Amino acid sequence: MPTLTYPGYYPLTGTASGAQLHDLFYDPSSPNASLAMLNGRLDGGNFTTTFELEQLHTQRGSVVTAFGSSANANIDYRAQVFGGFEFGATDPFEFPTLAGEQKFYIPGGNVTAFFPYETTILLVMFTVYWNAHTPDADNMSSIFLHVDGTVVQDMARNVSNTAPLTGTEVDNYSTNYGYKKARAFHGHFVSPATSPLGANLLSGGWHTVGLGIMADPGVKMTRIHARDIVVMAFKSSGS
Amino acid sequence: MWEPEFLADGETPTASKINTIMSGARDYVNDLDRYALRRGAVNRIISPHIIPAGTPAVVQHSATSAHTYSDAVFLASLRYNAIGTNGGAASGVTNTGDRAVIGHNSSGGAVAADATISLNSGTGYTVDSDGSSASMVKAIYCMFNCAVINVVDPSENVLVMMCLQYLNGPTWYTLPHTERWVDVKTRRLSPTTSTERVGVDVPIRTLITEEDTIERGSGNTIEGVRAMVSLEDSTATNSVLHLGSFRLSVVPLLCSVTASRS
Repeated sequence: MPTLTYPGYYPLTGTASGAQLHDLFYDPSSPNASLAMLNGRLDGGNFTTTFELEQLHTQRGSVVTAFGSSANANIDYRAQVFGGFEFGATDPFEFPTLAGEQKFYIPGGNVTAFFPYETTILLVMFTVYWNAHTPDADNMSSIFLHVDGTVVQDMARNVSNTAPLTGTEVDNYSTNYGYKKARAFHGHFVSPATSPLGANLLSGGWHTVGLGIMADPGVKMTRIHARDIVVMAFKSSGS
Repeated sequence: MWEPEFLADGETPTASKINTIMSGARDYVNDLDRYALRRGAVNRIISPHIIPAGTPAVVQHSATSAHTYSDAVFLASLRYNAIGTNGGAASGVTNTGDRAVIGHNSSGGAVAADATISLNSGTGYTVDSDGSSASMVKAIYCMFNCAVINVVDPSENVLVMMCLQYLNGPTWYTLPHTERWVDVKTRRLSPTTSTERVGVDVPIRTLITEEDTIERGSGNTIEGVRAMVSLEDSTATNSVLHLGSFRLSVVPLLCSVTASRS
């Protein structure tokens, strides 16, 4: 903050008259030249125009905050838990609508946290590794990102049969473990703009952001391996 | 704490005595520091942020069906030329360069938007290593994901390449270190069934800095970012690439912020 410097006043000479004393305190013809200045004319003009915001001007966590979660214990989902979801058999490139179907949030791949302020920008990065065992390629296991239960459509990826390596494949890959077609998905999400959240801001308070899974009932078993998620919440400029 | 002096009752208010009292008051006010100000007395609204207004910029496509890429998009050979090749086909342009913007599919109209982002209404942000430019942007963080569904190709020997480019002046410059490759064939359960869906995701994360522009020999104003795709097809047969959902997000990062007067 710059040093404050006020204009001086006109010192009296000789014997002060009543009018002189009055003008000393407040001179209506030249207020800045009288002690009326003491009434406070301090305003934004007292800041230098080149003043820059730096880290020391903000409190920790007042502009951006972050949360994370991860796990590496395998989780198996059996076919019976995914009722009602069917991938189309006619369009081999069909992706699920992800609406109104049975889906599960993945432990270790979700963050439920208190956002201390209204959030303008939500930045999410995540990684998940999973596979599935199915009788045919139309039976899909799908991983998706959600924000408070709203699915981010373009952050959904499918996997069908991930067969263990067998026979010559073991020789070719020089390994006897792993699953062919097993999938690592390292996704991201930034709001607002074109997102299921639209231009809406996330209000301050509790929110859940994370990964979910759903699968065709034809999937015999789908397995989640290592997963992690990082969520960054940037404060709105208006709050 | 300053305490005012007063003239004693009956004392003659000479100019000298009054001047002495007022000089004390003036000096005290001139020594006013931040501790003497009422909290909030000189506040004005300042919104600290590390991302410029109007950003981040996002373009995304949720695939309900695949978008396809064939000879109509790339050069006739579909052939990837060399690492770091600049330019390529933009929307509405065919057969230019060895790569095409994602979203610019062969059939046209199936994809909502090209994976192209214009920054700061086309003016762009100047990325300075010392943050001395007016935009105060030091780096631009880019995140990209795209699902590769499959490549239908009789020859089978096809690799899919994706990369990011930035726009400076009239040229789209490739960031060579962002080129990612996918071997589709080895990911299929059935090597002979090229229509089998593999659905592998291609993630790209990069930070565009002034050093990137120096390496590419361009100016350091980043006016746009886009995601490109190409095929390396050694036999130049009729490959058809199918892509699914994608998302390109660009986040300029400020190194400092100048408070604005309100």
